[in-house]
Amino acid sequence: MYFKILKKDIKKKKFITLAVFIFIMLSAFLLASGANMIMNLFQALDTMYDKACIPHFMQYHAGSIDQEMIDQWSTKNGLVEKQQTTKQIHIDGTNIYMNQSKESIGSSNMEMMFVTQNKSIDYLLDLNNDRIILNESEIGIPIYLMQKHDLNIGDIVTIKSKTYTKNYVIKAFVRDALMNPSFVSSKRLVVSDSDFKELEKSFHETEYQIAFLLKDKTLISDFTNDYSVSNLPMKGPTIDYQLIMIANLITDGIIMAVIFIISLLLCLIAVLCLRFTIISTLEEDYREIGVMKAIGFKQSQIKKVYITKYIMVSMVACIIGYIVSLFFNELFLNNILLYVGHAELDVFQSFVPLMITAIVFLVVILFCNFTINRFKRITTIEALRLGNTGETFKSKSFLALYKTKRFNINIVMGIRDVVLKLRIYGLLFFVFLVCMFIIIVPLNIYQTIQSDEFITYMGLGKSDILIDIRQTEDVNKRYSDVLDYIERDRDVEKFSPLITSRFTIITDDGLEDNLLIETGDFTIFPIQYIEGVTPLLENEIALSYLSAKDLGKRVGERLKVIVDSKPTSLLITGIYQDVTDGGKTAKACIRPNYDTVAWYLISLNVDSDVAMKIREYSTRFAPVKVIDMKGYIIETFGNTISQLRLIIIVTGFIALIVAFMITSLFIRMLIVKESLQISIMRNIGFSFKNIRLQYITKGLLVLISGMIGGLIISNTLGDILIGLLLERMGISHINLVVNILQVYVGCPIILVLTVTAAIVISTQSIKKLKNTKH
Amino acid sequence: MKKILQVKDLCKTYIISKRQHHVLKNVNMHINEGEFVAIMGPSGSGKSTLLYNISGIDQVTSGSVLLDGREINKLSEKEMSYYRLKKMGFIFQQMNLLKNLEILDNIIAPAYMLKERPRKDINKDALTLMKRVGIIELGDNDITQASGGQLQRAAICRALINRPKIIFGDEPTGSLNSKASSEIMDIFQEINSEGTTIMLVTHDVKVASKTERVLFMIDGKIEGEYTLGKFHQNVDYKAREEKLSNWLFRMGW
Repeated sequence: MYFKILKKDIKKKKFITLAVFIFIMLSAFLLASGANMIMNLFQALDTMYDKACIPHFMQYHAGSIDQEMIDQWSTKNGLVEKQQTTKQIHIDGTNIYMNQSKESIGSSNMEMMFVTQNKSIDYLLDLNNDRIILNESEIGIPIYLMQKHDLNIGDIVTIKSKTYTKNYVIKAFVRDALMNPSFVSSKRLVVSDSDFKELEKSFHETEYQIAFLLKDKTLISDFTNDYSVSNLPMKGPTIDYQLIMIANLITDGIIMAVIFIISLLLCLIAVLCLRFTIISTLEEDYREIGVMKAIGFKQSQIKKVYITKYIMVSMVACIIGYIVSLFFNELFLNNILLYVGHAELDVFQSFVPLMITAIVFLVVILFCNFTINRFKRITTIEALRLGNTGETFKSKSFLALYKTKRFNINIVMGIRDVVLKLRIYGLLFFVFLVCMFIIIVPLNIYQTIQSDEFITYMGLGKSDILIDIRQTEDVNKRYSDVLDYIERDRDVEKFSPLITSRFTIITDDGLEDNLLIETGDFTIFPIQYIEGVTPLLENEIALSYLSAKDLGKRVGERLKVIVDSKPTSLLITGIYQDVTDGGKTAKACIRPNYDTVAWYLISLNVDSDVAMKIREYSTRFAPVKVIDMKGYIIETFGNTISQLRLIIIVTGFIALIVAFMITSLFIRMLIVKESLQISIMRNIGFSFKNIRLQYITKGLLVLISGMIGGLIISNTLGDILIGLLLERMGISHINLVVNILQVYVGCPIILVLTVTAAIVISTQSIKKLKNTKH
Repeated sequence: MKKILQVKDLCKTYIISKRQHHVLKNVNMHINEGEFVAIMGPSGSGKSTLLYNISGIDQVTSGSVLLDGREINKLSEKEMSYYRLKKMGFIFQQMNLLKNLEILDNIIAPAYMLKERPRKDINKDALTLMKRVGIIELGDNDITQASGGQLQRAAICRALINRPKIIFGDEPTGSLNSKASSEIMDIFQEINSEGTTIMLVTHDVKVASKTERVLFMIDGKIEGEYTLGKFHQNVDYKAREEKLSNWLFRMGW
C-alpha cells in the first residue's frame, strides 16, 4: 500500500520531488567530495613532508657565513636534530629561456633560485615523491613553471648570459615542499653538482639557506628566540614549519572551504524544501488525516504513509550523490595530486566520505520525522472545522484595500499575502538571503585582493615600480648607484628610498630581541594604518599588526630600541598590516643600522611608460629586482585571484540556479495551494496578468527582504568569515573593498531578473488551472 | 424586448478516459434584459455546465453565446476580464470569497480593478450595499468570522458592486437554511426589480417559484420552459409554487 501511495505522490508532485532529490544529491555529492579532498590533502601533505624531510626553521642569508660557528652553536643548542647549510644561486629570469623560446621568463617576478639536491634534509622530490637525482646538463623544474609554460619531460631549458650559455634537458618536475605555492615568490630549480659549480662562476648573486630540523617541532618558537639572539647570520627572511604548512594548505584549503560551505548550505536548503513540502502536503491532506484518526489509524501508521516517500527519495539521492562523487574525485584532486602528490588512504579514511553521505541521509530523515510529527496536533474536529488546509488568517486592516488611495490593488494584495503568511514565505526569504550571501562574500574578497589598496596591506605604499636590493657583497654601492640614477632621471615623478635593517629592542621584561625596522620617509607613498598614523618624528615608530601583537604594544605606548648603541624610547604612532617576511616589522624615522641592513627598497612613480622604465632599470642594474607593482600582486596572488574568480562564477551560478529553482518550486506549490483563490479571482474579473503581478509582488517583496538580510549577514558574519580566512593567509586585519555598483546594484538586479523570470515562467501554470465551478 | 443573452446550438463535450461525454446537446435559449430566469433539472442534466458555458467560465465545444451583443467565446483574455468585471456578477453555492481579504475588501476588489470610479465612491457604494443586505457591521471582519448567510450576502454585494447587466447564480441558496435562503431570494427580487437581469441554477422549487421564467433541462437539452410572470408582493406565492411543481412533475422531475 505504501509503495502505491508513494508512486502516486511522486507522480503528482514531480517537480518538487525532483528539486528535493537534486538538493539532497548535490549536498551528498559535495560533502563526500569535500571529505575525500580533506582526507587526501592531509594524508598527501603528511606523505610529502615525510619524504621531503622538511626543516622546522630556516634562515635565509645573503652574505658570507661561518659554517663552523653554525655547527658549534647547533651542537650546543639542545633543540637541534640536524642542521644543513646550502647555497643557492639567484639567476634572473631574463637569463632563462624555456623550450628554445626567444622570450626569456624575465617578465615573471618570481625569484629563480638554482640549487642542488640536498644531502640530509629538505629533499627536492619528483612527481613520484622520489628524490631527484640529476646528471650533468639535466635540470629539475618546479611544478609552477611546468604549468605556466606547459613544459614536458625532455624539453630544453637554456641559461644564457654574456659569459655562459648552456642547454639543460628537463629530467624531472620538482615537488618542492617549501616553495610549491604560487604566492611563495621564490622557486627552486635543481641542477647537478657539477653544473652548479659552473653556474657559480658566471652568476654571482648567491644566498644561503641555513636549515634546522628540530628534535621537537612544538619548540619552534623557543628555537626562533634562541636563534634571533645568537650571532649567527640573519641577513634575510626566516621561515618556519607553521608558515610552510599554511602556505601549502591555503590553495586547496580555500576551495575545500567553499565546497564545504556550499554543500552545507545546499543541505540546509534541501532540508527546508522538505519541510515546506511536508507541511504543505500535511495541510493538503488535513481533512484526510483527521478522518484517518477518526476511523482508528494509529499515529505510527499515518506517519509511515508520509515518511516512506522521503526515505526513498533521500536514500536514492544520497547513493547517487556518493557514486557521482567517486567519478569527480579525480577532478577535485587534480591540483592536490600535482602539487602535493598521491596519498595512501587507510581503510578508515576511505570510508569517511561514505559515512558523511550516510550522515546526510540520517539528518534528512530525522528532520522529516521531526516535521511530520506536526500531524499529531491535528484533531478530527479541527480538520472538519477549519476546512481543507487548516489555515487561519488574522485580519490585517492596516493593509486593507479600502484604505488605499491610488496604489495598484494587485501589488497591495501581493504585499498583504506575504505579511499574512510570513511563516510560509520564510523558506523563500532564507534561500534569497543565502544566495545573496554566497554571491557577495567571495565577490568582496575578490575585490579586496584585486584592489590597488591591497598592496598597502603588505606594508608597501602604492607606487608604479618597486626596486628591491637584497644583501650581497657590493650592495651598498649598488644602492647608491641606483639612487643617484633615479635622482637624475627626469621621468621619475617621485621616489622614496627605504632601508630595512635589524635593530635590537628591549622588551618589557628587559630581554633583548631583534626587530626589522624600515627607515625613511613614509609620507611619500603612504600605507593604510589599522590604527594611528604614520611616524614623522625621530622618536616615533609604527609597528606591524603581528609585531604589536607579539610585543603586546598598542598605539600611544613606547618601545625601547637601541639606536646608535643607545637605548631610545620610541612612541608608537600607528599599527599597520604587513604580510611580507613573516609580518613582524616596524617603520621608524630613525637612522638605519647600516651594519645589519636586510634589504633596500625604492618605490617610485614615473611619468613615462612603466614597462619601459622597468626594462631600463633591470638591464642597467641587473641583478637588482625591479618589480612592476601591478604585476607583483597578480603574480603573488594570481593563483588565489583566479581561484576566487572561479569560485565567484561557481557560487554565483549555484546561487542563481538555487534562486531560480526554489522560486519556481515555491510559486508552483503556492499556485496549486491557492488554485481555488485564483479561480475565484479570475471569475470575478482579475486577468492572468493581474494575478501574475500579485505573484511577482510576493516574490520580489520576499527577495528584497532576503537581499537586505543577505547584505546585513554578509557585512557582519561574512566579514568575520573573511577575516578568519585572510588571517590564515597572514592578513590579520583588513578593511574590505566593496564595489558598491556590483554589490548594491549588479547583484540585486541579476537576482531580481532571475526571480522574476522564475515567477513569470511558473505562473504560466495559472492558465492551465480549471475555473471553479462551486 | 432586448435580448441580453442569446444561445445558439451550444454543445459541450468532455473527454474522460478517452470517452466522449456530451453534456450539452444543441442548446438554444435566450434571456431578455431585466428578466429573472431559473434553470432547473435533475442532477447531471447539464444545468451548471450551461451556466458556466454561457458566462464564459468554461469554453464551449461548439455553438455561440451572445452576451450584450458580443460573442463571448471570441473575447480575448483582457476583454473577458473586462466583461466579467463590468457586465457580469457571479454568486456561487460556496460563496467563494477571497480568504485573505476582509469582507469589505472582497466586495470592493472588482470595482478597484475596473478603475471606472474614484475609490472613495466605491467605498461609499459598498457600504450602501452592505447596509441594504444587512451586513454593514461586518466590513472589517475576516471571512471566517461570518455565517454562511452573511457570506452569501457579501458575495451578492461583490456581484453588484460594478452594477452589472446580468448576475449568474449557481445554487446561491444551496448551502443555506430556509430562512436565510428566503432572505437572499428577497434581495434578488429587489435587485431584479431595479432592472438587473438574473439567471439562477437551482434545485429548489421554492426558489424557482420566485423567478419569472423557468427552463427545465434533461440530459443536456432544454426540454421545456414555464413562464410564471413577474413576482411581486401581492402574488399568491403558494399558488405559484404549486403550479410550478405540477409543471415539473409533468416534465418528469
